[in-house]
Amino acid sequence: MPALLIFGMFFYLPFLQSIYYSFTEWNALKPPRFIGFDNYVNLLKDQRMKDGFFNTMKMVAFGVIVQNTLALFLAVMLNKPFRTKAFLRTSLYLPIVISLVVTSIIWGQLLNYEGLFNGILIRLGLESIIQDWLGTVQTSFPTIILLTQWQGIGYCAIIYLAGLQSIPNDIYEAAEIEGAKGFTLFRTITLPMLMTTVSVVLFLIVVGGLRLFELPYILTNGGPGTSSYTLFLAVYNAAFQNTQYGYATAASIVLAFFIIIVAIVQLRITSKREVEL
Amino acid sequence: MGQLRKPPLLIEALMLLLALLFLLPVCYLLMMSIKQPAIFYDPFKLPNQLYLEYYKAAFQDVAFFRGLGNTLYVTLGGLVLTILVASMSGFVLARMNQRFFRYVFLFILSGLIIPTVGSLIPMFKLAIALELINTRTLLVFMAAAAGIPMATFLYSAFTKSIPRELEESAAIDGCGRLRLFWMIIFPLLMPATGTFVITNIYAAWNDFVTPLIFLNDPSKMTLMPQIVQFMANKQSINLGPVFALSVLSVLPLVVLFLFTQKYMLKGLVMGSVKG
Amino acid sequence: MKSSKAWMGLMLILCFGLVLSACGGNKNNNASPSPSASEAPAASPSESASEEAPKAGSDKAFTIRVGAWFIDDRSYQVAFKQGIEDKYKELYPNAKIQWDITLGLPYFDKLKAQLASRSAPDVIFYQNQEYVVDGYLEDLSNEPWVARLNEAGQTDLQTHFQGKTYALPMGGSIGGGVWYNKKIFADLGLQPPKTTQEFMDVAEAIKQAGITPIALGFKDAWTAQMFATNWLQPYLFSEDPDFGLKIYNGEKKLDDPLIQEVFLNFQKMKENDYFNKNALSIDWPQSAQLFAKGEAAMIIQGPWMPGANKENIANGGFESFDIGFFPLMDDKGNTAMIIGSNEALGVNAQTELMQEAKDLVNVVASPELYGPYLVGGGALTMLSDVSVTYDDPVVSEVQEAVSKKSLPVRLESYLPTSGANALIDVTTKVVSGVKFTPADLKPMIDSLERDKATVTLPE
Repeated sequence: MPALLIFGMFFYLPFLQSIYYSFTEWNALKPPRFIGFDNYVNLLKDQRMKDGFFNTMKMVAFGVIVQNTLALFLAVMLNKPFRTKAFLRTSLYLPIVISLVVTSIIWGQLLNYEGLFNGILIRLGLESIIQDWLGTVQTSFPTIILLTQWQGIGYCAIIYLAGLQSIPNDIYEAAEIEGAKGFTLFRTITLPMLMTTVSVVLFLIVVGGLRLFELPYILTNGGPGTSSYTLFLAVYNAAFQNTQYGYATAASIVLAFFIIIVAIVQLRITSKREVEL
Repeated sequence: MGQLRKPPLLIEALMLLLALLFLLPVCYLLMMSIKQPAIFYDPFKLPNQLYLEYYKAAFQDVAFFRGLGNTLYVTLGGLVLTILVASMSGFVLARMNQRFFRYVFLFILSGLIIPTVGSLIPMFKLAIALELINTRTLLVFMAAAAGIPMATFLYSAFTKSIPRELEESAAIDGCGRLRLFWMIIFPLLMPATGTFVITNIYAAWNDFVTPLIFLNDPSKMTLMPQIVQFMANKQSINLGPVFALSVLSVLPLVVLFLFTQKYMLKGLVMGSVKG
Repeated sequence: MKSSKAWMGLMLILCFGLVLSACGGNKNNNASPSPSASEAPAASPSESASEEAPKAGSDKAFTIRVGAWFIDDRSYQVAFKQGIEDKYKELYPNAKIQWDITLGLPYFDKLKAQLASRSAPDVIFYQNQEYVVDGYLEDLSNEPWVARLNEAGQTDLQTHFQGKTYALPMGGSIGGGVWYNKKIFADLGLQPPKTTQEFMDVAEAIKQAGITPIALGFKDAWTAQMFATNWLQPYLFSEDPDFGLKIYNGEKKLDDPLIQEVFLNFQKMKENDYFNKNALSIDWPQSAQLFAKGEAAMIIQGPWMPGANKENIANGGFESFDIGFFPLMDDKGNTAMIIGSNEALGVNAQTELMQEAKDLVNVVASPELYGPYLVGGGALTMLSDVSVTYDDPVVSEVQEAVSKKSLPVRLESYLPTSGANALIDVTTKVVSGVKFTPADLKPMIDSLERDKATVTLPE
């Protein structure tokens, strides 16, 4: 199949070659030197990898719990016949259109110490909490997580919205005749009917969270210190900043296996729930 | 029929507030692109005139339309190629139930997951071997390779909503496989195509690393690397033109989005019904 | 049925691919013939021609590629580029120079991929010795300009390896130091500090006057490295020139008390608010802007600062002021400047335009081009017959600091790249306001242990 051909050639072939490199010391200029599993062992004591791992886990946890719930809530709201329905949907989804380059330009200015955000805080009398949001160890990664929400929540909400709209109306009517209302209706009808969509959204959130890279790369490059590293960024910088391509490919292969396992586990869990409900 | 009752005004107002919050950065971008230098760094001063010098500077310093043309070429090329090949593969994979095809499907899906950091240099060598380096064609292929997993996934999901009887009756009428696919099935898969286009057009459009690495010739450069390079050229102390350029580069996508969002939702609904 | 479809699909995609690549190929040839695509040499000068000054060249038509990451729209860069084109035209009237410019760090990623796949530019601007060590650059020891290298040029690390010259050093420069606003200092009755304590006192006085003492633009990570390295230099090297070697040999550790002291200095400065609040979220041009506006009194930057500052003041319409310089120091008042090399210009060992490429380097080495380029960047000369003079009196202050004590090596000369980057991580962490602990130096120690094999020791 042609799809396989293109995909195989421009995606898999380079990837397979990179597996060999993961067992070598290689700076891209000299021929690779075989060093066995050293790269894999060294992964365990790399500060950037460690911080990257914990931050990535935070991102995934936040995505699964908060982003997922909020997106579902937004979708339920957007499904109501608001007078300004089209406007609401458009504005919540719009951020995803904006490229990361542009996003970083906008937010870099907004969150700057002298930027609009701190300006508003001062006018609200909250001068004590203003800071350099992306330049402080404690706030840099949480800020990045919030920015991912700005970008991504609309997308998830739209997928949920689609799921909601595909639930036939007569089911609701039947349930309402039996006296179900409000939240009960949501719990007994909507949620079970929506389980497939939930697993799709969760899959996207988990994989997206594990692959989080561009925002921290362009906004903080992992700093200050190593406070806003993600796994993907640690791999990227090992390759391009430290020119340890062998080491970086080892890390990316571990990352790939990790993502696959998490994705399989997550799909197992949600599909089981689908059956149970 | 709770679904049709209009929600209270208060909730609507809250939702509007949230929407405005989401829109604020976009409005900010627009505002900064027309804010005169004297008040540029005062976050509370709104522009009181339409200051277009930044746009003039942006057009003067950056070959915007050439960049736009290149971006269109790469983005559209990538989309068309992906759709051509992924629609067929998605269809076939959905119809075949043998173990082999399931593995192929998983193999393609794994592309959504595997990181490509280590692949840069092998990729570069491949591009040289194929004499595709420094060509936009290469970017088209790479965009297609990146888009195929998602597209295959979508097409196979949508295929399940097409009754098999349709193909059988067409086959009885003596319709060839390929003709059958393009004349009958592909039009029915339009929602999948729409969904794919709308959810993936951004990826190639907004990519800034790949063109920077794989293209040499500035006349082939796409928009995003143009902005990045423009910024690197000591522009960070004069951000006005950067904002202007950003507005220009985002505008086509926003317009496209505004016109197609209804369609996209319909496509997604269909997808989730049968997916 | 499946197979027929698959075959049709394959055919389709092949045709499609062929058509596309055919167009792509054509375009490629028109715009940028790769070396292999250039026509047979009409009258290729023999190798021996390189012994003397360049011969008349030839009227052969070809396109030669030059790669760089720093040639932007600054006025002296524009003049430099134009000058090369004009002078090269005299040699090769029908030659065309193709500038492969990728501003910033992606250039080096790209260069590596290009070298590994034999598609790099013919003439390469680079930094870092690894390209030489790994054998990607042509030996240029027999070029005419080699005899003109002065002492600094002959001992320059990144252009030399095992006694051979591989590239033209584009001047040397001080690693950096403190540039200050003389007007602010005079208004507050301050003198350039001599010890770390005096440095702190000066900063305190400036802060009391409501002015930011030091402008930082750490969003550009190299500025963080510059500050840290230049402050480590007097602490580590002023009394022990072999400190770096001892680190490498393991006689000294990277959590040495002297190294800790420097980071404690950073911590103290941060705690006392001597830096701009947005130190980590602005880049270096923005920090230079703070300095040009007079909102900050000092800035830690490289030798280009006097020129850049003049340009910033003129462009921004700010009030003009004189700029002064003092080197970073330790708490006893010792100083030690870093003398490093700027860009280097080498010839791709794989190029098929060997003589043409060598001639281009030769053109750049001509005093009319080399001199103004050095002046524009505030660099020190590495050619004996090119002397650069600066009208700005601050340069004599810089030269005084250099002559007092300077070294061609620094801590990172003995560290792997990963270790140098770990150094940046500690610096940004402390400057962002986290209290320094010796454990912060652990990643540097680990990276030296792990990647020691990748260090090329300075000779």
